[in-house]
Amino acid sequence: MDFVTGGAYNGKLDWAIENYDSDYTILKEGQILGTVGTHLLIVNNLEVMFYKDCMKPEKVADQRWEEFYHSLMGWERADPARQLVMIGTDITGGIVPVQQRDRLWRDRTGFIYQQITNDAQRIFRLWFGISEQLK
Amino acid sequence: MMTFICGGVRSGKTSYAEKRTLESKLPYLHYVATGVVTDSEMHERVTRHQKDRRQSLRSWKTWEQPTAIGKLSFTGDDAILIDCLTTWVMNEMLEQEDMEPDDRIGSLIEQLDRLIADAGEVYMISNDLSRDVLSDNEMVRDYLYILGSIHKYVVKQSDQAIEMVFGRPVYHKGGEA
Repeated sequence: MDFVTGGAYNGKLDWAIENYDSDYTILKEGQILGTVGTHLLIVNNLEVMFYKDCMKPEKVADQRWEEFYHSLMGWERADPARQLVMIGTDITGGIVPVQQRDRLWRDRTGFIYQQITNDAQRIFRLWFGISEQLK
Repeated sequence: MMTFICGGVRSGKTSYAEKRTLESKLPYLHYVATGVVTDSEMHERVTRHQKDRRQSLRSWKTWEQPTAIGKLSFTGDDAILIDCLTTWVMNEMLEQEDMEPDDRIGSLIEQLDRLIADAGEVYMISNDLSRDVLSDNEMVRDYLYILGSIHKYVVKQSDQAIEMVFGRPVYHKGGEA
């Protein structure tokens, strides 16, 4: 699994599509992994998923995330030709948000990105179209 | 020759860009200021930057240009410093509000192209605002989308692209000069 991050509108998805240069699927919300017909699977806008979960009880949100994450990693492991690319916007660099929901959102996002960077084989940070490999 | 210098507030963008412009071998230096003075803090900031340039070893010509920077014309003998894209894009959006974001990007790029094509050296300063939580305000989202698109374009056209980190330049493109 590779992780691609960077600020909003820095060209993360465009870069991934160009860089991996093969047929790809961008996972849709609720899509069953069995229906993915390409070797390259891109999971875009991870932070949006965390936004939906951040007001749920932590246990429920964690369990939902872990199930989803394990199913993705399992999909990749099932065939050596498969490549999973997770893309998440870095939303952790602004002033402390006034709204509690936004504070919980960016905390949750930061924690999960730590987990992903720990597990990822490679990590790329995009800076206005230019990639920098962090791992 | 174009250099893009981007970073957070108080990261030393202006000082570094001024230093680089002063080192230019071109005969004429220009400072394109896009900021509009709206309060006393802003006035103080502008006065400080102006004083710095007056005390500088070479003379600068200052252009107050909150919008329409494409109207300025330069030649190959001019080194210009644009400070900064963030306020310029905002001023353009406030001046003419009813424009689709993608049309806006096209019109801003047209202005930049004219500047880049004519001037001998261009140094462009901007702020990186892209790592905040995503706003639910449409105008803020549009602004960040337009600014991010302009940044990507400028980085692509630049010979050097530099991220300023607390006074230290990090080169993403073009290596150290």
